[in-house]
Amino acid sequence: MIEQRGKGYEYCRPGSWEELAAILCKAEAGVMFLAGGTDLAVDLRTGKKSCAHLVDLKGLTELQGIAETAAEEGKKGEICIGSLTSIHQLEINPLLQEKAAALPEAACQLGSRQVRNRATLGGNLANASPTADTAAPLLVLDAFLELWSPSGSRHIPVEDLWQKAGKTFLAADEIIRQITLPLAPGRGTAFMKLGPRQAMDIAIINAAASLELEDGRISQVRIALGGAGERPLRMKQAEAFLLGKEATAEHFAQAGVLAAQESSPRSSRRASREYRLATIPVLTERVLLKALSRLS
Amino acid sequence: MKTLNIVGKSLRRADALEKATGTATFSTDLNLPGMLYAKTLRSPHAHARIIEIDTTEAEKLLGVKAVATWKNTPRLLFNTSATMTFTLPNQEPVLDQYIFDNVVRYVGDEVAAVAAISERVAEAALKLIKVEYELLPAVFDPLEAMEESAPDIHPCHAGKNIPGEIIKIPMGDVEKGFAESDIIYENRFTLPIQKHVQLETQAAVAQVSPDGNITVWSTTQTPHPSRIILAAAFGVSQSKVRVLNPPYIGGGFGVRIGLSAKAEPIAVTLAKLTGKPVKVVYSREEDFIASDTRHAGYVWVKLGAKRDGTFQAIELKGVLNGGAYCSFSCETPGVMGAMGLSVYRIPNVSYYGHSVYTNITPAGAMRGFGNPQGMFAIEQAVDEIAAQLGLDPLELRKQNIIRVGDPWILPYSCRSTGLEECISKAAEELNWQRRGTMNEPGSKILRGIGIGVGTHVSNSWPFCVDYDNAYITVLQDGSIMVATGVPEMGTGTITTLPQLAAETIGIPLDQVGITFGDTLTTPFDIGSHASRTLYAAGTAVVAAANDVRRQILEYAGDLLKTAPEHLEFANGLIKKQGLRDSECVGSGVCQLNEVQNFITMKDLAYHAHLRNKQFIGIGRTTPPNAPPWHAHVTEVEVDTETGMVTVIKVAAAHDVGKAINPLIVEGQIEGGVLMGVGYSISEEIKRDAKGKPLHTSIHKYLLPTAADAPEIKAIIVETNDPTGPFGAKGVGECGMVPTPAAIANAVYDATGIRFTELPLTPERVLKKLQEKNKNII
Ligand SMILES: Cc1cc2nc3c(=O)[nH]c(=O)nc-3n(C[C@H](O)[C@H](O)[C@H](O)COP(=O)(O)OP(=O)(O)OC[C@H]3O[C@@H](n4cnc5c(N)ncnc54)[C@H](O)[C@@H]3O)c2cc1C
Repeated sequence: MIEQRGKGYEYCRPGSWEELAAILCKAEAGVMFLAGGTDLAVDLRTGKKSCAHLVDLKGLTELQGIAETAAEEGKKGEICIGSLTSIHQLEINPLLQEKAAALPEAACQLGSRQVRNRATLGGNLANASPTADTAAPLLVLDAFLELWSPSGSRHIPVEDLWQKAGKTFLAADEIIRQITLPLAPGRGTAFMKLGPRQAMDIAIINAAASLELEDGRISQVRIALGGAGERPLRMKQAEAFLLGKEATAEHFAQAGVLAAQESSPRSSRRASREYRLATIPVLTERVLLKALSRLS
Repeated sequence: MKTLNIVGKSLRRADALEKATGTATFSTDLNLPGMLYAKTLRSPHAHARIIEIDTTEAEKLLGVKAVATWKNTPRLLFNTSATMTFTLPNQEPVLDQYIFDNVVRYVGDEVAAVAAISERVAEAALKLIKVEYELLPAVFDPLEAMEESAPDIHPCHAGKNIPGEIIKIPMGDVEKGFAESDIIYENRFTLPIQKHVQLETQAAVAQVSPDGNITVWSTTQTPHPSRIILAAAFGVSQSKVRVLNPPYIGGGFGVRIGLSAKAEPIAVTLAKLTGKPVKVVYSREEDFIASDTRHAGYVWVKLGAKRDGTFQAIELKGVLNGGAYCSFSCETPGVMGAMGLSVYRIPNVSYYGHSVYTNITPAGAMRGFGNPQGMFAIEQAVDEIAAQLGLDPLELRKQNIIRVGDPWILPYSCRSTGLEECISKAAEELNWQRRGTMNEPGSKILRGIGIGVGTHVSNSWPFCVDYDNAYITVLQDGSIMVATGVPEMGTGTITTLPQLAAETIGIPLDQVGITFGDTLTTPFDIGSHASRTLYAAGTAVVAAANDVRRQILEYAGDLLKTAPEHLEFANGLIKKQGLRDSECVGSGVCQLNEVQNFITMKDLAYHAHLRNKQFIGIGRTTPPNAPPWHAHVTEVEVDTETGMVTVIKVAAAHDVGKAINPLIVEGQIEGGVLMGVGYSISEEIKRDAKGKPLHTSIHKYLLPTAADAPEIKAIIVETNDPTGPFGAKGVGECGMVPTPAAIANAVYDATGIRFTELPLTPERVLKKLQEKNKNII
């Protein structure tokens, strides 16, 4: 049982959407969703978060899984990931490894084996940490989210999920149901993480990039950083700078400098603002080079 | 030389199966009928006086059985560290703690404790205790705490906020030595707070019988000294106190030499107040904020040499941050000086060192005990001298290291050293000759190799009271029970001490049982610390075993009508010299009267039993001391754009005298190395401006994980010290000692930058790299 500092809560584990809807309609306030619990259990125990109703989503088994929809006439292929899919499943999925390398690359660096077995993709996103390891990859993969609440479902680009550190735009009764990655066959993607430890460590900075070339020039580029601001961020000036240019280390380095200009990191116990600003260009350049190496 | 059957073999640990299957018991596992649970209220302030403390609401809470504060607990000064039991007569032990006081001196200091029917109720009750504090000025840095204007934390006679004594170690004339030197290197080094993070947090369960006998199961590394401390703190005779481990301890590394922080006294206090058994288990956060850390502080070194590299003089000075109470705060700077000045043959040496009280978590004993701090400075100074003279750091060390018989400052002599062999073997393992040729010009990722050497103790004599006892009882079937007062805290004691006993007597290892870590069933021993357990307790076990062997051979001599010196005794068989084992078949000697050529230990013991005799061996020793030696050669990689330092490989060659169980020795070396890697690269506890610690959990405090462990090659060098059991010397702490220096020297080799402050965090490293680049441009 997950302990909550000070007081108790009501726990439930709906097995169907109807049941979930009924619970949400009845509960007045203080609802919190539980996935793997690797963030929430800690926060409830320390008193950082508290709730009156803990709604465990693990009863909704259809929220787990990774599936590809092949491309059809006029429609690109896509990969759909249920929000309760574990980080470990992302890490070992051959489909993702082949078509969206940045995501499994990030997954395998999150926490430890034990944490990855429990932690879920939806939880990582909804927890809204500015350094969530799966955020930057999803940003460069143009992911969009299917959200669900008793009043219906809607789709948003992943970018529109986060307000600031620890805060999303989700309504109180709304959950992330599915994460969709549109496929782009000619794309190279990569992820990198900067931190003093090889495991069990929240990144000081993390970075993802996606690149496509046409006739030797950059025809599509996405750069995203975690730890560079209040939420995971796309580096749009750096992207604009690169578009149409040759994919050279020099250009990537210049893009890195632009990325630092676009960033507004803060100082924390883990690293100072100055250190983050100094390493953003380095990580940006390196992740672009790595994405480029994945192209051929 | 006598062939060894059991000593020197990597035999399976006696606790391996229990621990691998999760059936081994630790203090945390104990449950007694009617047991209550305790939680402690800790100070939110770094320095304050308690004006008012109101516990009435807490006492009213359902399930609360007692609340203890300074008002209802003994006001007998004591100290949680074992120093109060073994400080030598020429010094006064520092007694500066009460179980609870009306002044709190660091964030985390004990204010009150509650015993209740569950931890949850106890925790809820803590919130109902009302405390009114008068804030007092606080100081966190040892140099600031010595200033006149700083608050007085405890009364001190040696100097402002200086606990105990100032340690001064002189030999020769350093002024003259520096005057005669062609080259001098001088610098100040800064060391951080490191935490043990032993797996099992501080814990104790106490039971007080109706007639006042106290039993405490706990995580202490020193059950016998802990009994002395508790008897003093509660004003009862030692014979009324039993302290034991149940039977295992989840690691120690020095964090509980003496009491397990305040776990034992809090448990006993509440057990006395309630008449029920009480369990105290520190949360990991409590363990971080309210149990000893390594001493942080400053070390100054000045080293002078002739142009040919001969060292002429060294001056070492240490000012360590002792925190709010004196836990080994005199001994730690003492060992820093004593060890630091004993590695090289230098005619003129001087050491001056002490700790300083500040308003932070007390610092105490931790693996290496001041020695890694000192060697961090000394070994970098040696590298600087080598660089400035254009000499190979390896050769410069070999040229200057202490040899057997050299005069030194220690009150015992150096009877063995394998340091030169350690240096050569570690260097060879890492291909030392690659040094200086490892990087392409312009490369952003740089590699470097560095070396650090050192020595340590095998025991704590003659720095403190240190003696050992053991007894061995031969049971009626010829198997034996060894009784020794040291604990098993993961270091292999209950495997290696039986190995010594079995080898000495001449019986198979599976015939040896052991009782340990319990004041009721074992004779006094000062416990597990100072890398001493195998060396010192081992000396007593060997003495007891020799006593048993002598008695048995005498008995067998009568029986076999042969002088004892003409008997052989090995593998459980006593026989006339020259007889082959295959000739020793058949038995029945117990009932017969005819003379035999041989007798098994089993038959002999039973024969004696039927004639009203049992063999009991006693070992009472004041073990001497001996220097283990070590050389670490380390390869690192430095990312010059991010400041990340990665330790690639550590070759750790150790002169351990004799490896009684090589696998266990390698484990000790590897563990020490990894602890040193963390200390060097990522571990540190920082505080905010008000003295509140920022690194209070395993997630925040960056210990290396398995994924961060470099390749570690442990190399065992054996020199058979004449004083140790079967030639053995200490090893437990040694892996820690030269690691930070070897890493810093490797980083220097890679970058050309001398880092004087640990840990080498990416931020710190990048800043220096940027400064250097600016200077070049
Ligand atoms: C030791 C340790 C190491 C860690 N290391 C890393 C790391 O390296 N990198 C990293 O990014 N993170 C790390 N984390 C954080 C954590 O593991 C991840 O953020 C994880 O992905 C969270 O997923 P979860 O399923 O456990 O979420 P939970 O803890 O169950 O939930 C987290 C939050 O999301 C909400 N939520 C969960 N699922 C949904 C949903 N489907 N719809 C709406 N809201 C939802 C919950 O209500 C809660 O607020 C670490 C955590 C620990 C304990």
